[in-house]
Amino acid sequence: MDVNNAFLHGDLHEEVYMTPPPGVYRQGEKIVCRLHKSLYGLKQAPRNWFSKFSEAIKIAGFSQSHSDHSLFVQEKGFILTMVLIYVDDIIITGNNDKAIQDLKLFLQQQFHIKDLGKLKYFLGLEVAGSKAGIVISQRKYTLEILDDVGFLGAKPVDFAMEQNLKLTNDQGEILNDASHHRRLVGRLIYLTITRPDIMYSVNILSQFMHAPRKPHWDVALHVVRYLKNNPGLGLLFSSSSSLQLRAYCDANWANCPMIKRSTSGYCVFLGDSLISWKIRK
Amino acid sequence: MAAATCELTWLRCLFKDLQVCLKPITLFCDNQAALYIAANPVYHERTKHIEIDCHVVREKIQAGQIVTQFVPSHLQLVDIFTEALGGDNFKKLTSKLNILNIHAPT
Repeated sequence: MDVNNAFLHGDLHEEVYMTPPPGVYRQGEKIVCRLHKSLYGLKQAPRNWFSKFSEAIKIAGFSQSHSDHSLFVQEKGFILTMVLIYVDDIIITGNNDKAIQDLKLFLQQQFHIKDLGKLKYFLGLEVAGSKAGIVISQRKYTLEILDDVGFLGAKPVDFAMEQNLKLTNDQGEILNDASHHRRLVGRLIYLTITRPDIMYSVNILSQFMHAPRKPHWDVALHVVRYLKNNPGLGLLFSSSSSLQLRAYCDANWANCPMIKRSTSGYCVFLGDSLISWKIRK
Repeated sequence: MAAATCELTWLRCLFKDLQVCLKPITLFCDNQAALYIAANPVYHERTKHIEIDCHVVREKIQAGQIVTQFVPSHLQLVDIFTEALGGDNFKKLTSKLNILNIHAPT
């Protein structure tokens, strides 16, 4: 679901004045107006909107989760309804259709809300659900990256990074236009949400963001060529998996050639599905 | 291991909010030494640099929230995150992580 003009819903608690927009005042007149509701562009607008929303949904019987503040849960006996909000995008799920319908009606009364139907696209992630489970992928985003770099027709490669390749911060010439490189790596970082397979190379690349050199750019392009190989890859959350968590952790000992720090990482599985992972140097 | 333990603690809280009760979580590690240190509350002079990490993991083990287990290196799934892999290993691990292409013609 999507909220129309979300920030206009917030109540303003501070005194804020603004000059009226052209057309409201006559020539030569000097007036200001005091705001009663929040507007786009105000510093406190997002905060006001969120507090308004959380107040409203708490009235409906939801409680805010302590471990994730944008998650609201309602529990009535066996009926469980969950709401996840990201600024003005809302995902609702639960085990009872009636409860979900009631909640939608309630939200529609409170705010101007557009129902977008079943979840398909959220923050650039494509979501596809079936009986077997849910797949999230970023196919469109990947293709955009390929298009941006001009690699739509490039020869794909099988691996994200060459083995035994050690990047350093003093070899090769410095790139003239570093912003290009930074933008590309930034986009690759966002892509790691559904592509843990490029995680390692992106981690390496982002260590050289301050002064990227030619070899780093080459590696970044290599990753893009790897993406070309299979842009539609995504993560599967199987519906038949058990509710047992497994975690793996590992560290490579002093792998970095420059400062001899090790990279450690972990990943967590719920049943068969990968739900959380991280690596850091 | 400590980083993983922290994440697991958070996940446990999250699942509690979602009304899911979890059994103790299995934490796989391919480092025998780390596992022994985590299991035995014996002072070890070489652990003095990583003291807090040890205590964090040990506390959770004693509270019964996680269970540590050894996993041989060739079955270690995190390798894909900490090393540049090639060959079959990379493909094997990618499929293990449940990464697949739904657009692929079957």
